[in-house]
Amino acid sequence: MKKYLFSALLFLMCTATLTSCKKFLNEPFDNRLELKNIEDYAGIVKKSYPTRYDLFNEVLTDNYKLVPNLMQDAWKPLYIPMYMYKDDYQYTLNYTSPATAYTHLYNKIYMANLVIEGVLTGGGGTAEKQVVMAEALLIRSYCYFILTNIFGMHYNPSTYATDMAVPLILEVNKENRPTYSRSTVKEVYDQVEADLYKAIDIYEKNPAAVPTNPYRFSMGAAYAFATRLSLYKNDFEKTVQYADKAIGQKGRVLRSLKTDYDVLLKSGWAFYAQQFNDPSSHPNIIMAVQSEYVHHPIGNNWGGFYLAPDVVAQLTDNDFRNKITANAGTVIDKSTYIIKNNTGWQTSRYVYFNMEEVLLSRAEANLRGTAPNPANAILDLEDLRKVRLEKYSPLNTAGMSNAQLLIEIYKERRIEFLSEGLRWYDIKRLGLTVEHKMDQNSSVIDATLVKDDKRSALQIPVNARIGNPVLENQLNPR
Amino acid sequence: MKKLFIYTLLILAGISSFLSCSKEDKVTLEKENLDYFAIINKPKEKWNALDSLCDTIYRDYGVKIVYEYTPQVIRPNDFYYPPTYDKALAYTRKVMKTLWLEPLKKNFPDYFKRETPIEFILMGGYYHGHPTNTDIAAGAGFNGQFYRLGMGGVNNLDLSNKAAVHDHVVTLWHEHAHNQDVKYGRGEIFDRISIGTYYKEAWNTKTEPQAVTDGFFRKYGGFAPEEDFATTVEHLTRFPKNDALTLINSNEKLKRKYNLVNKFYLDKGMDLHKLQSIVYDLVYKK
Repeated sequence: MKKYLFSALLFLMCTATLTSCKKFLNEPFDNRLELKNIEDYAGIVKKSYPTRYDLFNEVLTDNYKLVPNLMQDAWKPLYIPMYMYKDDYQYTLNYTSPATAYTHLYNKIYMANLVIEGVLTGGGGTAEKQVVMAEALLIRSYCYFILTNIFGMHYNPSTYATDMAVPLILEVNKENRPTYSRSTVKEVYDQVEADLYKAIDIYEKNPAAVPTNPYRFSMGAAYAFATRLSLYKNDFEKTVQYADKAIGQKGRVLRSLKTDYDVLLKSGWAFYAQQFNDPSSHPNIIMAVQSEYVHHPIGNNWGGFYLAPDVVAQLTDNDFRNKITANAGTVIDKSTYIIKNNTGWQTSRYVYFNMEEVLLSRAEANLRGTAPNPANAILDLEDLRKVRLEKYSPLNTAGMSNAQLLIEIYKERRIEFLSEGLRWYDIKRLGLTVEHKMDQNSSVIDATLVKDDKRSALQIPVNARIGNPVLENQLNPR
Repeated sequence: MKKLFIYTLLILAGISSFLSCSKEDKVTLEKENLDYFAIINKPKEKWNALDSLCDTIYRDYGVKIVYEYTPQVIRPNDFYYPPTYDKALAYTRKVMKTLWLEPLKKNFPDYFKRETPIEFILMGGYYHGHPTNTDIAAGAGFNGQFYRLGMGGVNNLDLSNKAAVHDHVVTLWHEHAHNQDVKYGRGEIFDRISIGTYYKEAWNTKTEPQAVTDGFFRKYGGFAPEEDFATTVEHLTRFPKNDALTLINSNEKLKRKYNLVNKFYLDKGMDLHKLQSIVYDLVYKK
């Protein structure tokens, strides 16, 4: 009897032990969120939007000049080598730099991949799941688009099959420490396009489920992205096509700088800067991002980079864009900066896409396409000028060639997007020459960037090479 | 055995102490008075008349006049350099002592005690410039400091030209206003008066009457809030009270700026109208 009792007890104990083990192993050990249904994936996708860590690229352009005595010393090892087109800048993460952008964008790609891989098998309505996947595709597409344009040469069909871009990572890593080789510019652009157009297709089929929040990829934002991508590829027909679609979504509504200027007069710089990129009061903003403090070497009086003299000359008294500039240092320093963000230690907003870009891209495409349409280009250009000039008078375009009109559009692009991170890509795609001086009073040019300059593909940062040593043998040629 | 061990330890400790002492002896500070400038502290037996005058000024007013230093590079093509000896001696007597420190201490003792810089740098040329460069900038950038002031153009200043001397002293007070601005802050209320309407780099394309209409005492004041503040001080130091007030009353913005700046100085013990009258009399009537 005693033996039976003992055996029964032993049996019960074993059963209980095994049962609890099974449950224990079923629970995530660190209480992490398990992605199971549409709400979980939608939550991830909302967190996948990158911050504009690519805005450092303004330092590389002809928009800015260096004034070292008006720069915080701690930032000099980071930004001065960059300005000189050298690869050995200080790899301080969290300041806007190629190193930070690389890490940050791949973090976001990881999150997007997580969603793309799992959302369709999770719980939830089909249309909603499709749209969440499309949103993740758009984010991944945008991240790779920025990465390839930072670290690769510009899209050029005669060399893109061999020009190196960045590693394409399209799945969530399941190995211990995998290595990733760089893909070519063609491969990355193909992927960017595949993701983008697949997402647009899903959005168009499920319009009711598409986000309308200006901090996420809406239908209009997807079209604006397609507009930019097409322009960078010199596909002018598609540029016009997607610009039309973006305008169709949002209406041809441009920023009233006069209204922003009135805010400045009434409320001061701090409030003006905080509201400048607020999409709820600025319908021209198609998509924006709000982020914690991002240090920028531009747009403030301690960053060290100030508007180049030819930019300042272009910002006439009659231009509202002149009225949102301020001076740093003394009269001798001639250091002007434009204020479009709050660059203090606080949250600020940055623009991904706005209607001004769509309009100027369409105007350019209308002049550069196989069937130029200068009349439409002038209409778009004048629409912008009307809301930028205090006393508007139309350009005298009579007798202007398409090439001359293009120059006007490029001039407008340059000052319209100051400090918005687009000029660097324009320099690359248009093959512009940039000259940088260390001493602005000297006649000596210390660094010159020429058309198709190898240095326009920024070097793969050290932090990326440490984690992925295969890149050591795939560095950009110098 | 134990004793032997202790002795060995003691000897080793002794040797190491002496060795480290000997190494420490070699450590010297290359420039004991290393500062913004390589200032030369001459021994008393080598003093000239200007050194003695500077010493007297230092003892009477607590301001160290610096007239000898190595030319300093600001940027590859710009540097500033000391004045010539004769010019510096005359300048120190006339401008530093007679027109600046003496009347300041006598008429505004509280303000003198608290707000006088402890160093004054004399520059032969102008702050940002090559000896061949004639651009005028009295001491810009340089004077945004708590304790140091400086003036450029000492070599070019003709002390027999009363108008030039008056302009120079008024400019000195303009530069000192930068010092005060950095020290206390002109304040958000001042900045808001002309916010969004500063001329910035285009200041030189404006006319003086236009600047007054726009609410600036001078077109240069339209450059930025810092210069707006300093030119307000300069205006009150340059023109007799009645003339200054006539202009001030012609424009609402000028009136608001005047009220703020005047109070800013009065609170610290300085009546700018009284200062104007003293400086004017010293230059033109003595």
